[in-house]
Amino acid sequence: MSMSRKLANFGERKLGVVAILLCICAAGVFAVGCTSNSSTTPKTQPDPESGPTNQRAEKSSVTLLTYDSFALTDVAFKSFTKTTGIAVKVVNAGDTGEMVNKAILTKEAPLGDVLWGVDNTFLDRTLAARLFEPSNVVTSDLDPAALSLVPNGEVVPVDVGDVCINYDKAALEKAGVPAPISIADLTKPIYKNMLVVQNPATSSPGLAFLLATIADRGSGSPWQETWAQLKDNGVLIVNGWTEAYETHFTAGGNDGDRPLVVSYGTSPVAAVLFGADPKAKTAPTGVAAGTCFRQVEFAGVLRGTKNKAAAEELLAYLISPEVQTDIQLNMFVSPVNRKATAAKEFTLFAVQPNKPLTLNPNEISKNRETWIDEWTSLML
Amino acid sequence: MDIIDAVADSPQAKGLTADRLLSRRGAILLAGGLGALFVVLFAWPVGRVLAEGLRPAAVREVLRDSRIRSVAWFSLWQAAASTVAAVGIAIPIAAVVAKTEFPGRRFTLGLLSAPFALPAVVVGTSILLVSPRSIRGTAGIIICAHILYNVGFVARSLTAALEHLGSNPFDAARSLGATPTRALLTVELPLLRGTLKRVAGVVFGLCFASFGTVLILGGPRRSTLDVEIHRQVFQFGRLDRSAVVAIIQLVILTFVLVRTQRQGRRDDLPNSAFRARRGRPQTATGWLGVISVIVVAVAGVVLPLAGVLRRAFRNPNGAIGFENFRRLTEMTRGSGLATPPISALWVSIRAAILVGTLAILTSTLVALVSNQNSQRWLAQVLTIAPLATSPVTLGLGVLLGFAVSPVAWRSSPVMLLCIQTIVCLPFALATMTAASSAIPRQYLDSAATLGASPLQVQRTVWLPLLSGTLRAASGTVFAVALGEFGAASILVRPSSETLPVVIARLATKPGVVLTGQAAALALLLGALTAFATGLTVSGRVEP
Repeated sequence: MSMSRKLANFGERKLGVVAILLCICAAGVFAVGCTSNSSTTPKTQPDPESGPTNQRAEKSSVTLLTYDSFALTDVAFKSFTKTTGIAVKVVNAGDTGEMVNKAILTKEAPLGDVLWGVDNTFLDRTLAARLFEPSNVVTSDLDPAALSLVPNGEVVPVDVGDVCINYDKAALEKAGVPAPISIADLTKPIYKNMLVVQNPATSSPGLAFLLATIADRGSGSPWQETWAQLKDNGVLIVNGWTEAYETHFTAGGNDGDRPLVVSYGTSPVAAVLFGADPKAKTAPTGVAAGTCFRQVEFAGVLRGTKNKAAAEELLAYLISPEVQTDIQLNMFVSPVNRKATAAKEFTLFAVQPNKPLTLNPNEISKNRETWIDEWTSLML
Repeated sequence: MDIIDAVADSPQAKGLTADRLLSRRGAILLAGGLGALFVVLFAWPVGRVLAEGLRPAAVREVLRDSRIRSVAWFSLWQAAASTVAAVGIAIPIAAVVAKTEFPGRRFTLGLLSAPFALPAVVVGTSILLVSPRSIRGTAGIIICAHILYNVGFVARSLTAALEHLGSNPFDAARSLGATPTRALLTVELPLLRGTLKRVAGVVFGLCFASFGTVLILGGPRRSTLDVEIHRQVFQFGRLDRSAVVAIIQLVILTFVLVRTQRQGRRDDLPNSAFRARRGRPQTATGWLGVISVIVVAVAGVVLPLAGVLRRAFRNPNGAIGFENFRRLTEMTRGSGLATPPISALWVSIRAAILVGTLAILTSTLVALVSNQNSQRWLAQVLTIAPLATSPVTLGLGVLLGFAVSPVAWRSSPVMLLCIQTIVCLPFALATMTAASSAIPRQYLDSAATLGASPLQVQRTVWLPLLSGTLRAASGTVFAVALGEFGAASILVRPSSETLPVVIARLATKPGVVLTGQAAALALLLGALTAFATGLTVSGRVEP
């Protein structure tokens, strides 16, 4: 083999080495790029020698995975961090359904330590996917009816709400029609082109309202018929609650043209607080009590968390009277902790029906997909 | 001359040339490595989609679902309508631009092609922001968006083909008494059949598998199969049904691309010796044509993009200002974002640099290997396969193929970057392999004859000759990586969402604050893409 040939071969090998090195470098850059987010947290940790005032500063951090519309008073997590030394990061992952599916698809590398907001319609799927690790938080103060939905304690109930038809009092008066009371009322011609609902495939209240029509025996006809009539009556379908309420509802503040909307039994509270006169004695919107479907939301510690102790501390905080009182005027849901202070506005304006429409959770989980598919082929 | 060409084309000569850059063993090693990468990052995930989606139970369930059938039907007919309309609008534009000289001719053509270079999310958002609420979610608005997106691409391709055709056929028809329109329709267009078919095939494919545009504009009622894949995953958690939908799309897409691209190549035109001469329009009709083209370009392209500009600089209270941009650094209630929107900018730039670097590196290695005659398949497979598979399908493949240990990597950010590299690869490869095989073999031969080792030939001859192409390809790949939406929307982690994902999220939420932020971000993404594409243009070397 000639000298030049050897050199050539060496060059050859060198190229391979260079290529491999480049690949390793690139991989390294990736790794750094990917972890730089998580590595910023330790950096913010105070120097242990910087003085006694920082003794109780962040000792660790937990991530709360939740839906887009999650909200608490700004100081809520700050006070938690102050007392426990645990920092809280909130990650939103779309609406309830999207959040649940993302959590299941990423369960090998969980998106967070604690998940807030899986409701009774999705609960079974998360339990089947073994998404949660049973936690040891004290639940003795919680509403026993809500607790009974999770006998094995994988998750804990965190709030209760009712999905109901809301109406704009002024708009109905102007149109000269009475407020609807039941689901059957909505199919009457006097409410033509008045109702806006959410797509049950993409929206949690939308699904709850579909379930309400299924649970409702008052109309005497199968739910498919009810929806066919609603379609003939000009029902508008949108993807999410915000779009339905804030864009299309006449009392949503954005020149909507639909006086009836699927929302919550507590929405009148928000309508007063965010309305023209926060001190008003009556709410501008009303609730059709016969249309309400009960929704219970749960939170739990995600399996695979690296910080179970801190996650449990956060979970315990989420069901504490402090947060349970706070959720009322931030998310407009009712607390499950019986020691929470009922908000004055809730007692004044919220509608909490004594006998909401309900379905057995097993029945929901067995049929949810079929129902949604059927609904989708019928309505879209 | 003929003999030299014949010798240069002979297999022996090619083998000889290949030796100048790589030894046989080196080439096999390198090709093996790249092939392995392709198998892991493409063949395995797509294979998992096929395995999952061909289960009889899932197939039956999907085929019985009337909604999925209607989604498939909508994908087909809207793509057909968009293609016919885009080509129909582009033909007169191309005829005017190719045959007449007028001030701003090149600019007009560039303007028309601008949407094609922009990310689909930006085009979708701009249409969403300028359209009245009543037409959102209709088939009409989706078709309009697809026309806007593709008409420039078709016009540009047809203009080039008409110029390539030269003025002979047209002049002959004219001298036999045909009107200009008749000459175009009965003589020139039939001659351009091959080009038309190829271009229409590409446009049909893009509209058929359209994702970002339809996700933003479609609302709850309208979706394509690609959007349906995403829906099945995130709204129902049904990966099996999602895989069936992906296969249906893959089959139709492959069929269309194979039919149009392969047969089209056969009737390529011979290069005309006579380039078309362009003159100022002579008649009033000629000027009318020019004015119509300019009006179409301005009304179709400038208005929607200006709409985004206006929306981006209109504060939520209605005044003009930078409020939307300022708010990008804040968390807004109801946005559903884990971080302030502006952080998506850094996530995207960082990801695009990484993806771009990897794609350029890979394509350089592929181009190096592809000089070797026997390894040419690699470049072809790496170019065609990712184009026929939608990024959403690839993302689904990752969800399916990297779910269980020891390869439980589906929620790792590295996986997304790797998949985005595969998605961007064809754009770099197309230019790189073409430029590499266009390098005169004599250059490499001379260097080797003078004693240069393969490495020296690579470093001192091959790479410098490719430097312009490399720069152009980098710009393209960076732009494509910035706007990549399909794979990202499946694989991105909520805490590190990229710019297109955040824009799509904000644009479809109600409220002036969030749409204002969406407009501001879309403007930033559009500007970044334009900057990257600018690199491409300045880096293009004319032979």
